[in-house]
Amino acid sequence: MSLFLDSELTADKADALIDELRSNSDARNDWFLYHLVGDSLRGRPIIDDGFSLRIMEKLAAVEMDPTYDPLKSND
Amino acid sequence: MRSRPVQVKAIRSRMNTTDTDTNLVKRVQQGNRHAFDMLVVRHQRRIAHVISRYIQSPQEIEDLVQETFIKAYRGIKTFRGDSQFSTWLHRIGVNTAMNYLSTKRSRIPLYEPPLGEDTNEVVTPETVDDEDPERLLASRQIAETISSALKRLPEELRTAITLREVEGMSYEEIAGIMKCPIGTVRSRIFRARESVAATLRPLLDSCRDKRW
Repeated sequence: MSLFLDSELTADKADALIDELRSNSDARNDWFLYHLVGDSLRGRPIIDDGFSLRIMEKLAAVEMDPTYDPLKSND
Repeated sequence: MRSRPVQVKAIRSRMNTTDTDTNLVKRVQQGNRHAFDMLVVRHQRRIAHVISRYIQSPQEIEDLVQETFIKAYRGIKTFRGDSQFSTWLHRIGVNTAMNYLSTKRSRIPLYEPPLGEDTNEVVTPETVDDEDPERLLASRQIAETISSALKRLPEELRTAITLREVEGMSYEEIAGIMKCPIGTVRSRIFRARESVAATLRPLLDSCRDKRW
């Protein structure tokens, strides 16, 4: 996990870790905590714990659009 | 000659490793939503920090961060990798904040601060968070816990994680500065993260199932 945060894993190990996070809540928790530690060191806001979950709930209704460029759209 | 095997090993390590964001974006583009959730956790605070330079209300910041990630997910297939994903996301966040301000200004008269107010005060989202004092308190408690845990780390662990997280140095660069093998750098960074995370787990455990 720590190596993956820092892009120090090989592709096959990274893929395996991504798959593991899907089913392993302890690993997902570590992903969240390790990023929280790094962000705190960088002085970024310690935002509310349910923040990411609220984002994901909104994302559940969103589909990818291969014609949509967020940098060119004015929405 | 004696240092050559270490150098060769380091180079080989760099060649075989994969950039995490690139890997995750590729998985998202192939249809893996969970990989995007990982990107959200990875970048949410950075985007909140960027947007907070322009927007003060914590609720508005949260709304705009959500909008940023929604736009990024929707348009992920147009991301070609010409820049880093973090740079692309940063630009979406800034554009989203600017569009919001532009819309807001067109609807609300220019704000005139009342007489006597210190208009030079640097305001952060925390200082105007009168919407949820409990949330503010929880955030401060987390920040203080992390700060204390970092101070208690042995110097070599604190140095390693600071060089990595704050200075953005690679493991190889850190090994050069700390005059130790790359394997030792890996171990120190992991132990530092794990030591701080261990103090946070009891604090945040009640919410872990509501996290993601």
